[in-house]
Amino acid sequence: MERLIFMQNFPFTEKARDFLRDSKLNPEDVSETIIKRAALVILRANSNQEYIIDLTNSSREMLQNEIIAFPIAKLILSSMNTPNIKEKFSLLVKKKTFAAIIQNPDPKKTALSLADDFKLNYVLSEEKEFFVELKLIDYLDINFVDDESKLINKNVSKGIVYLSLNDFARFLSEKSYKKVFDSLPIEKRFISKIFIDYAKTIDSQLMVIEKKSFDLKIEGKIEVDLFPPCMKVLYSDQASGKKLSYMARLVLASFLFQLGMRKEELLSLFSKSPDYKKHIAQYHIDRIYQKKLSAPGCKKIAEYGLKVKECEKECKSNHPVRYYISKLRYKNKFKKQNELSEKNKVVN
Amino acid sequence: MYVEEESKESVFLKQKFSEYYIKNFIELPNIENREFGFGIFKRKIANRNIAFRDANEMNYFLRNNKPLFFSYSNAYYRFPERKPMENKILFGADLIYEFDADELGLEVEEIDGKQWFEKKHLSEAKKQIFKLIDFLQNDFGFDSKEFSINFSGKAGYHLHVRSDLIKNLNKQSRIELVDYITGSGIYFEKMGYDFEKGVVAKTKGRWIERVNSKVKELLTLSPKELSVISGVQQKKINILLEKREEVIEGINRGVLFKLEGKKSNEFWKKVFQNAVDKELSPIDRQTSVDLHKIIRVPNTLHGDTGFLAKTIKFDDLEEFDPFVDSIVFDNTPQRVFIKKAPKFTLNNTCYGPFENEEIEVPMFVAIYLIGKGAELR
Repeated sequence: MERLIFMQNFPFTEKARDFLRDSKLNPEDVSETIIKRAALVILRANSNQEYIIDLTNSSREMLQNEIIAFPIAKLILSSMNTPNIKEKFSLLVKKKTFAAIIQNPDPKKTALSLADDFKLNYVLSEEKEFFVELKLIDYLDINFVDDESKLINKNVSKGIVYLSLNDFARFLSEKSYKKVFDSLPIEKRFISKIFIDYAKTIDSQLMVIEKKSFDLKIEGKIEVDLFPPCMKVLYSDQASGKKLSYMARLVLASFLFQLGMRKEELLSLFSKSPDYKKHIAQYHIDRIYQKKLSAPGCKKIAEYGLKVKECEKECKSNHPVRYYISKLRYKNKFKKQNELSEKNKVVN
Repeated sequence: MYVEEESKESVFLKQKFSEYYIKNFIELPNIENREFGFGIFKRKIANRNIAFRDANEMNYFLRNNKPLFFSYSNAYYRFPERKPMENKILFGADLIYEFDADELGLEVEEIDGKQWFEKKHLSEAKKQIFKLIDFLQNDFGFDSKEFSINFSGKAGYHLHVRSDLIKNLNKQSRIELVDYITGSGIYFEKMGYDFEKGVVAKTKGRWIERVNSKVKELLTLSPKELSVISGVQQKKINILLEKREEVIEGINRGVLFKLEGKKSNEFWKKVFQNAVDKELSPIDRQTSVDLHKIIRVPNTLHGDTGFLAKTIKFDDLEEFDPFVDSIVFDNTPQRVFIKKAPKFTLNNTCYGPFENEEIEVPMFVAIYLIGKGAELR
C-alpha cells in the first residue's frame, strides 16, 4: 500500500513507470473512470487549481486508477491545442509533488525516496541548519519555475548548494516539473484516436471558458496607478530622466503602446532621457507602432533584469497588460457600483 | 550578404589588419562547431552564419577578407552555417561574461558620437573582473583553469568559461547564474534575515558572508554618509556608531542593533541593500544569457581602435594596461586629419587635444584616430 501511495503521489517516477510496465496495460482498454480522472487532472491544471487526493480510506483500486490516469492525461494533452497546457500540467504536478512531500508524516524519508528515484547525487548535510547538500551543477538542472527556487536566495559556497528540507522539497518539485515537461508532448504516432477525440472535446470546452474570461479591449486615459510594479518603476525612472537600458526602454514603450498611448506622448516621455536623440527615439517608436509590438510577459521581463521586489508581493499576473486590465476592470466595477448607489440615493 | 561601400580609410584599415593576420596565426577551441560573423568599417556585425572547418581555413579568411571586426558564437552547433537558428542544432555553449566600461556608471567623454575611454575607465572594468572571478571560484566552485580572460579591444573585458560541466546548461540556468552574480532577485527574508525582529542570517552562503562583511565595513562610514544611504537622521546614527563595536559583535552573533524610533527596520534594509549593490558584479546580462550571441574572437583586432582583443593570463591581469599592451601596430609615421579629439594617452605617450588639424602620428595612433572618425591624408 505504501508503495502505491508513493506512486500515486509521484506518478512520474521510475517506480510508477515500472508498475505500469508490469501491469501490461493497454491504454486503449482503460476504463471510463480512469479517463474521467485524467480529464479532471487536465481541467484542474488549466485553471491552475490543485489536484490533491484525500488518501484516507482510499482503496487499492482507487490508487491504481490515479496512477494510470497520469499517463492517460499525458496522452490526451499531447493532442490538445489549448495554449500552455503542457506548462500548466507540469505545474500541477510540481505543486502536487511539493505538497505530497511536506504534508507527509515523514517528509524527510519521502523526499529522499523521491531523490533516489531521480538518481540524484546528494549528501546529507552535517550542518544543523540544512538537510542536504547538492552540487551546483545538479541544482541548476531545473527550470526555475518558482521564484522560491532562485539560486541567489540559497546558501551557495564552493560549488555546493545547501538546502533545508523545505528547499529540498521545492527543488524536487522543480525536478518533477522538468521531468514531466521534457516528456511532453508524446509523439502523435503513439496516441490512438480515442485520446485525440477526448483532446478535441476538452479543447473546445476550454476555449468557451477562455473567451468568456478574457477581453483585451482597453479604452480611456492611461492610469499609471494601475501599472504593475515593474512598469511603475520603469515609468517613473523614465519620467524623472534616469538613463534606462535599451531593453528597459523597449519594454516600457511596447507596454505603453499596448495601453493605447499616442506616438507624440511616447516621444515626449522619452525626450526626458539624458541621451535623448529625437531621430533615434522616433525611429524606435515608429517601429513599435508599425510592428504592433507587444510588451513581453513577466518571465521575459525577469530575464531582462527588470523585475522588481514588489512584483512578488503585489503581482499575480504573468503579463503586465493583463495586470493593468484586471486592475482597470476592478476599478471600473467599483466605480459603477458607486455610481449606482449614488443614483439610488438620489432616487430614494 | 551585406555589401560594403568602401572609403579610403576602410581600405587602409583592412590592409593594415591583413598585414597583422598574415604575421599572426589565430587559434580558437572547437572552431568547427562555432558560428562566425564579421564586421566592416563602422559596422561591427555585417555578416554572420559563417563556419570554418579548422584554424587554417579561419586564418585564410582573416588574411584575405580582412574583417575589421571578427566574432564567434559561445554556442556549439552541429551545422553552424545553417539558417535560421534552429537549423544549426545547438549542442552546448560556453559561459561568457562581459563588462563594458560605459555600463559601469562612469562618465566618458563623447565627441560626435564616439566615446573616448581613458585608463581609469578600463581599470574600473578590470576591477570588476576580479570581483567576478571571486563569484565564479568561491561561490560556483569553477576551476580557474577553465577561464579565459581577454580585453574586448575597446571598452571592456570578456571572461569565457569553457568546461564540459557547464556546456549543457540551459538558458534558464544561465539566467540564474547571472541573477546570482548581479544580485537580482535577492530577498533578505528568504536568506534568513528579519530586520523587524533584528535577525541577521549567518549560515554559510557566500552572499550572506559577503553582505554581512560589507555591512560591517559600511559601519565605518561617517554618520552623514550613512544618513545618505539610509535616509535616517544623523542624530540616531550617531548613537548607533557610538556603540560600533557592540553592533558589529551583534552582527557576528546574528543579532541586529535596534535604532531608536520607528526607522530601525528601514535603516537596516537600506544598509544591507547598499551592501548588495556594492558587492554585486555588473556583468552585461544579455551576453551571458543569449545563447545565440556572437562575441569578439580573442586575439583578433578591433576595428574601432586597432587594439588587439588580447588574451590575458590571470597572473598578468593586475598589470595589464590596454592602452599599452594591446597595441600591435608600429611607429611608422602616418598623416591624418582630425576634426576634434581630446587629450589621450597611447603607449605611455600623450597626444592631443586636436581640433581641425592635419597631424603626423605613429601608425597605431593613426589607426586609433581613424576608428574615431579621422580622415586619411
